[in-house]
Amino acid sequence: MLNSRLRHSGPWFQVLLALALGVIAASGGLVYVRTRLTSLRYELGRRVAQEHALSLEVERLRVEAAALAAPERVEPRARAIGLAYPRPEQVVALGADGHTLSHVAAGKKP
Amino acid sequence: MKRARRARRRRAGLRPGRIDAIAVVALLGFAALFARAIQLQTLDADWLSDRAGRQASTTVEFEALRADLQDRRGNMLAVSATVDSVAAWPKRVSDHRAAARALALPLNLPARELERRLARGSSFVWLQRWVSPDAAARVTRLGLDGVQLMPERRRFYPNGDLAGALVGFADRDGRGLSGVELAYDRELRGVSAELSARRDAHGNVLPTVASAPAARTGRPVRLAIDVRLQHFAESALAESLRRTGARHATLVALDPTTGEILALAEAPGFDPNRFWLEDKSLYRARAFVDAFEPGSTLKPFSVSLALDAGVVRADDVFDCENGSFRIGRRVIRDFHPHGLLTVSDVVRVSSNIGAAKISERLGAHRLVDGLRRFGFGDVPGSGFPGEIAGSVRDLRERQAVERANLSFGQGITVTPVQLVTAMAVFANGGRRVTPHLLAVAQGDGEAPSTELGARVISEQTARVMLGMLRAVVENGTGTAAALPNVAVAGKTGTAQKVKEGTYSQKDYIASFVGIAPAVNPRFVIGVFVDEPQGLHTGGIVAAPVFREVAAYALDQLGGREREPTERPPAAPRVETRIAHREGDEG
Repeated sequence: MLNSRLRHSGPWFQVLLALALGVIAASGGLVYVRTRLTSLRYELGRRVAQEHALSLEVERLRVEAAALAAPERVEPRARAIGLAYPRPEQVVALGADGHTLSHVAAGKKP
Repeated sequence: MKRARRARRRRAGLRPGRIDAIAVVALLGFAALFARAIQLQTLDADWLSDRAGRQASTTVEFEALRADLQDRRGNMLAVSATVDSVAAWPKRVSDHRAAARALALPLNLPARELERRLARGSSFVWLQRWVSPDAAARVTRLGLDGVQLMPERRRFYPNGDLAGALVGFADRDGRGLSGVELAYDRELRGVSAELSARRDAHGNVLPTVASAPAARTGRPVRLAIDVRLQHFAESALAESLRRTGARHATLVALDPTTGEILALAEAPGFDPNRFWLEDKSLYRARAFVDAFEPGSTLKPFSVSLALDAGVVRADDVFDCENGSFRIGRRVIRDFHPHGLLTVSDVVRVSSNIGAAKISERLGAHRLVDGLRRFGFGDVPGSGFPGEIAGSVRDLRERQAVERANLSFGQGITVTPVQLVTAMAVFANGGRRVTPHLLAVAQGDGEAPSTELGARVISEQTARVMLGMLRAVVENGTGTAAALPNVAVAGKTGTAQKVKEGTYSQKDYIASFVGIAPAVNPRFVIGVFVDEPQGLHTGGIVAAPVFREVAAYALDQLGGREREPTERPPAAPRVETRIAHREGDEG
């Protein structure tokens, strides 16, 4: 029925119809693009929030790692497993050639 | 023909003229749409764009994260992180009492206190700032109307009170208020940024890729101190306070070749994490900002100036008058009476009378000028906020009493950092070095210059002085500083404090400033103990602390970090307010 009407319509009508279809198609495309853009923005927002949360976690872990490495915390644990600071008499000065320079102490001659 | 066309249209149901009418209406419609589009896109474009921008655009401000403060090995001294604070809008909280009761447990605060805060009448109140992640989660679970978590930046000092006075602290807004946090505030703070974004009808922020670049974090600052040495030094000072009953103690450890401050300990210290609760007097890094009369630790400088000027030689002999010597109306005394002493012995046994007689040959002008060349009376230049210059008064030649006093450390005020830096001149072959807070290896930052400064005394004089200072440790007043396997040089000091304009008879500052090893020096360490009780001499109170810390420094930092310097021979790269009473052992 429509085909026969179109066949019998004049050129104006066909131009108008093509124009209308073009506008509808373009509108549909535009709506799709806008929807997709909005959806991507939400996705981006989620990713940014995720990244932010992870960076906060990294910040927190850095603080925790620094606190765990604090000498105040490490020293008692080292003592507990039998480690100790060297006594002054255990410290020996070595020259670049590897020989001790103990003779420089107490005025001893080499 | 026309009749046949009409007949076909009638069969298709289209009357003549109807199509034309539809076409005209459609054209008019398109024309209207086109006209409207023209209006919206051109004539009203600016206004509409502006209005839409106001409605949909938003700006999110990102505060820059304050950069890390590290020790010379990259250990964290201060680090920033985002934490939650609990805020409330009291008018939106329906039942203050119920909300306060619910929040009391997670916030670990009395319900009455929370209720009082909610009842203040202001539109916004902080219930608690910087809460733990656990507390934040529990507050969220409560789901109270008008109560919300707000992210805030917090500065953490993971080592607690370690180097508190040196590191200082930043306030809740991330501004450095004291110490290194203040000195390098600009570098640490960074640049805040604004992030442009759009928001939807619900107010949700929709960031765009183009707006992604955010705040620029500050530049990490690497200090010269080593946390292990710092910790050991603070422990040794704390032990010294416990043993001697002293009020306060300071230790400064310096690398004489670079000027790097390897440790700067104050005991007691304070915890910058809770600075607002601490005694404010503990904020001060006394090593930089408190000047004192150094007493006998100044003698090496006055003697070296006399040697350098050629007015005495190391083996010249002076009569030390058996411990009592009158100059004008003043009687100068030695702690132990001595007869004839060489210049070396004057330093070794710390004779005030000997130092006074040596300075007589040097003269007041040359003494004062020389001490200034050592850096006394001048700001050391480390960049620490508020560091002071101390004072060296001008003297006239005829002011014999003042000149004599000056020769053994009275009538002059110095800071511990100045004294340690000046002692480094002997370790550096007679040249000055500028003390540095920053490590020489600074990564991408600006490293301090490590070039030695002006010559103060000749290399020969510096070498002779090192020998004299070794004798102090080997068989003089500083034997408690000796290390069995390492040569050590140094000088003791015991000085009365000035209280209410006079020298106190019971309050002293005991000190020892030493160099280890004495051959190819690696460390200059000064120990200053304020008001030790009972035995109070520098040789008894401060020298043992030096010994412990020097041994640890030689063990931990000796020769492992840097290639040997060009100085031959390639050698062991091992690693407070004072007054002086005449006659004190020095």
